[in-house]
Amino acid sequence: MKYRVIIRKYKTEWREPKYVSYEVDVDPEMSVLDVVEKISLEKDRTLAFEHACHHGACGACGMIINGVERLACITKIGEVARNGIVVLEPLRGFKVISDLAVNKSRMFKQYALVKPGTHEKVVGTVEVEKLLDCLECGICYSACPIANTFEGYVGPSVIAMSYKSSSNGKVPAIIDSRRGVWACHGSFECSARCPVDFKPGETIMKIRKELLFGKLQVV
Amino acid sequence: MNIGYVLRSWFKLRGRSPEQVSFAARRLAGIIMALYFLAHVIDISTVVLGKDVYNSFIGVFTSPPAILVDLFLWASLVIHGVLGLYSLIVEMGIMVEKRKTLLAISWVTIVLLFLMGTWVIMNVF
Amino acid sequence: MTKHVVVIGGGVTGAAIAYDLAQRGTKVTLLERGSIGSGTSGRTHGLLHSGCRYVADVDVARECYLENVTLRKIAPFLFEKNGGLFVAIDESDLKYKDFFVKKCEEAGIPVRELDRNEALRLEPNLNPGLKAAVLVPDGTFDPLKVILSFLASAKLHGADIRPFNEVVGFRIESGAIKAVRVLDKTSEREYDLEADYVVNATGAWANKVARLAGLSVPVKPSPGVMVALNARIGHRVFNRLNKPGDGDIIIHQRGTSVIGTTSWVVEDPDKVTIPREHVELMLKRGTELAPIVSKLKVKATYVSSRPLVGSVQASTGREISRSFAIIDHARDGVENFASIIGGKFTTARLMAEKMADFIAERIGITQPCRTADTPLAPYWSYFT
Repeated sequence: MKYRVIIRKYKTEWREPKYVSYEVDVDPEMSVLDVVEKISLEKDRTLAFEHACHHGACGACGMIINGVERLACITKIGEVARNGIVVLEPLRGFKVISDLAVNKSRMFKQYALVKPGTHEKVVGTVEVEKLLDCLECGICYSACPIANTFEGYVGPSVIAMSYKSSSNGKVPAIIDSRRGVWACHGSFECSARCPVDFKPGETIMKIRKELLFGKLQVV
Repeated sequence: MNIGYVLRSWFKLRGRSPEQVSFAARRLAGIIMALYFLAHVIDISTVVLGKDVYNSFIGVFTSPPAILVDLFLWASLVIHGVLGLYSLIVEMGIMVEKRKTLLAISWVTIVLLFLMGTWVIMNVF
Repeated sequence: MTKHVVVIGGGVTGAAIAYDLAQRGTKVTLLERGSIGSGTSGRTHGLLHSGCRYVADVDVARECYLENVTLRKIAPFLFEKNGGLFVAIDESDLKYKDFFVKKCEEAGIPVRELDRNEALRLEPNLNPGLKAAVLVPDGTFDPLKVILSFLASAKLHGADIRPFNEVVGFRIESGAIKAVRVLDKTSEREYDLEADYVVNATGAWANKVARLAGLSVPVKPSPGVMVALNARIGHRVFNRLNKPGDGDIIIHQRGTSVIGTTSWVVEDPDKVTIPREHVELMLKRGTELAPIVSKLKVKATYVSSRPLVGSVQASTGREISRSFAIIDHARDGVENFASIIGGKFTTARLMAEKMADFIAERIGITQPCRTADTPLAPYWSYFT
């Protein structure tokens, strides 16, 4: 099936980005990421985009597909195309390195302040450990109206990770501050767009409730 | 970061969740009310310029086209107020899982209050 | 004067080599044509091998297990250390058990046989008709985060990591590479990078890169299909107790379980399509291990090419040895160039140690390797 893929391209020293069209003929079941990879190998050698696991487990391929944040590797082109057109743009709220690749350091910079763990305990017949579901893809930052405009916001995923991985039931003081949970205005776009249902929005409200009712301590 | 970028991040609506659309509505209503408040302070303060100037300003604000402005203002007040109450509840961590139901009730309330206010405004003027 | 080494390839092998060399005080520049982990290692199954799968070759198994222990020590935050189960479903599996347990013990890998009830208690989604189960020290990981941890550690020691920089040529004079020609995709400009030594750590693409220097590398790109399901069905790795075959491992990562894998050989790792029959085979074999698989949907299917060492023609990848090889291009007339192929993700640190030792000898670095004893930097510090 024929599709027109329009990609927002940007190279260093360009004054403005350019939207470039590529015509492809692929199976509607093909993932948007596979289509982008095909374009980069066959038509546009300098197309820059991030990808690693190709099955929605690493968070590298987050991008805006027809206006909505998604992981390109688990999004089928046939499901998102409108009249055969798919527009691809990089995530919002991050500095663009080139084309669809962004610099996620503004999100990872917050980790040093909060030092989240990587595991959560699982209660079962025998205790096992589990890596947090959060892929650290940055989609919640791109979707959040606050993260886009408030540079110092710790951010939905980092707040939720800090809470869920806490080993002593406490959270760092910055979570209970204007830069932490109190920056949120309840748009819940983070939870709506999260590809793994990590529920950062609900977690932020849960933290607020626990802070208000004295059930959560800060370190 | 410029004003265009800020506005685009608050008001992006395509494919967005009902909570985000409500957030945008509340914010827009708040901005409108803030601008109106500014305009209102200015027009009231024309009293210092004498009775005639003041009366002519007030005349503009009570003429028929101004009724539409009043309705618009009432809508903003109702949207901002009811959604503000919704936010108050959900952002304290209460009824978070049931927020979509609460949001639906809020919008029904907004429509009802708006209709009631419209009836009042139309009949008083 | 500090020597400058250019590492080509931003997968786990390149990342570990960059870390090892940088830690020894070398100036390192790593070049990757795409984003970090966009090659084979980003799409690896994610199995921190206990080594038990390879017990037919006791030395390979032991080497694997020792690296497993080392990685758990230097970066416990990267792994789910829940172990794995080798499960016997049919008579052929059951017959393999004694040989399997004996060989594991010979290789020094701690394993424990479980009875049927205990196995099902630990992992209720296993086939209730299972005939035997052996608990082994497997682990799982997110490949991208492991690669980023190695790179973060390399950056701490001053390494310059450049994704979206593709090698497009080499300037060779008097039997040595004087400079590497690079295309920076973020600016669409080419530039020359001078180096004292160049390592080709591009795995399945090693021959494509070597050809730019007029050389060749005997690597056989060998793809394998993985099938990710829309739910997670366990906490420990599910392995089929038998000789290594297709679709005999199910690994659980975050909210998904992935069945793998198959094996065939291709000419060009950039031109691989997924055969439909392989996906169906994965689902069939997966259902034999865990019947719940037949009730789940496929979330994604993916493929990437192993960098198998080959010197003989082969049609499937399994006859080819899985140990790694360092190809010294000095024997081809270019004295400061080597390629590294083969290996498994689990042994990347060891491959890097051997490669770094090899280079150290040739460019006069005397510091020994310390990567086995130094904790890895957290992956998020790569971005800061």
